[in-house]
Amino acid sequence: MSTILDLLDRPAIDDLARYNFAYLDEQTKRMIRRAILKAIAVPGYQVPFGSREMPMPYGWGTGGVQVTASILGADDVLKVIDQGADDTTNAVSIRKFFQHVAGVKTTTSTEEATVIQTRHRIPERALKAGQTIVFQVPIPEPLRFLEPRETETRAMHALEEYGLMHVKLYEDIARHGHIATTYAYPVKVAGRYVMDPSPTPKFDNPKMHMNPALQLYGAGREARIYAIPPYTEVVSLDFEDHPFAVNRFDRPCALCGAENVYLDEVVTDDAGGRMFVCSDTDNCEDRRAEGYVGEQTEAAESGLSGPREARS
Amino acid sequence: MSLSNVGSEQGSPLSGGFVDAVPEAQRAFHALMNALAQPGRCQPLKSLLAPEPLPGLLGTIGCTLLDHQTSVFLDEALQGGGQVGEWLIFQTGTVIADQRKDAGFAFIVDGERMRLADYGPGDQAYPDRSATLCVNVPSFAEGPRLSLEGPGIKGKMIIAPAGLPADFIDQWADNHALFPRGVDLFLTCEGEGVMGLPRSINIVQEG
Ligand SMILES: [Zn+2]
Repeated sequence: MSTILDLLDRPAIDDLARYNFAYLDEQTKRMIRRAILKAIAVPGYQVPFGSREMPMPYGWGTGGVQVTASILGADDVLKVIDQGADDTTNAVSIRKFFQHVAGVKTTTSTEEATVIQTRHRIPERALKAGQTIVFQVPIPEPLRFLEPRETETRAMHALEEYGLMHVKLYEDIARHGHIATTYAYPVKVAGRYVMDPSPTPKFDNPKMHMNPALQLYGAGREARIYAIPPYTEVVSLDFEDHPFAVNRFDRPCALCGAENVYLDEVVTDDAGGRMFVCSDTDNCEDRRAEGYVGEQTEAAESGLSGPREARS
Repeated sequence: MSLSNVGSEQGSPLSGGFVDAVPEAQRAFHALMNALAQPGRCQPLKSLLAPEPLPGLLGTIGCTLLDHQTSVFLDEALQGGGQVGEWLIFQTGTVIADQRKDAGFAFIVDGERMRLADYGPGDQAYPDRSATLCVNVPSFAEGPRLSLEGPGIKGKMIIAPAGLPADFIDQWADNHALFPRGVDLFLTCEGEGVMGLPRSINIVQEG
């Protein structure tokens, strides 16, 4: 399958750019915008929308891309991350796509961005009021693995019948002694809807709670949009005797020494050397620029670490 | 004479609307999105030239959100003469609804007489199939003080819009109690902008 990168290399992209601001036609944007407003009014509820074909495969986050295309204005500053990195193929391609079709300014800085599109992570740096973070969601329905029928899951949400979800988490405990779910860990939004933050690692779940930024979620294949307004209660499901806990890393980032951040294991050389570094590359670079060091900083600066690819 | 010629004629009932639709619709949507995401906080919204008695800010909301997939109910004050409906149909392609309960949107200038319960609150399984009421009010500061709490609000938010029904608090309590069903409100005020009141928030009398 051809990717956006192939597309961007062709002169055809110029036609695309001339065709519509941010690629989508105004009719489609209006439909998506109306869905976004409903999603904000009913936090955590999945609003169906007429998802469009985008010039990229579904795995690339077409739902998030459509949401971003519908909210973006010429004066926005866009950041795109995949895992926590700005430099993976997916992130670079989506960023280039919006540079071409909307002419927007892009950035890798969390601080500077007005719109952040992400596939997994929520940046380590606290988001601000006025910012919008758009999540690319592969599977929006948290009950889907428990109940494949859409009519049934819709009824469960309508009746606030979430017993099955608790059974699933409890089975985890019975099998592993703890809740083993580490990605797409279900949350309850504003005391009502159970929502899938997929595929965000549960490490980031606490960042969703009372976040000053607007969180929008777009699923392209399943054609759903949902939202968490700023300053909204987001609770990770758990049990009294097995409270929700984030994964802790037993070491700081090898490059910047940051603790309590999400780390990725990266291979550093052909001999199988490896180290743990910030998944949020922008945060790591900022810290290093501020003079923070980790135990591998010197080795890294002599050229051992190259750009990383997402491992999803 | 073609429709597009009619539309460009100064003073015609079909003039006005967006001049540069793509960026103007985006800016207006941005204001509406923030209004709903930060309830009670006034967002700047540019007023469009629209036929009397349609307030320009409702004209802006119309041109931003309405099209042939939507329907809009006009309150009695907006129905007179038919110019407003004609303008909205010409600008957006929307359908004008005959009944309040069937409309996806309602444009209201006589806010004191509106009944939230007259409009569709959606369905328990599809709460998005609900009405959005766009109400133009004379002031954002001279009405009774209302205290808002809920999603989008850090702590609480005090607003004082004039021109709402005397029993607005009770009507809102009934609307909020339907959650996840319920109607959402956009309040507009000339010279001020737009504020949003999503069904998710709780509203009580302040003080
Ligand atoms: Zn680091």
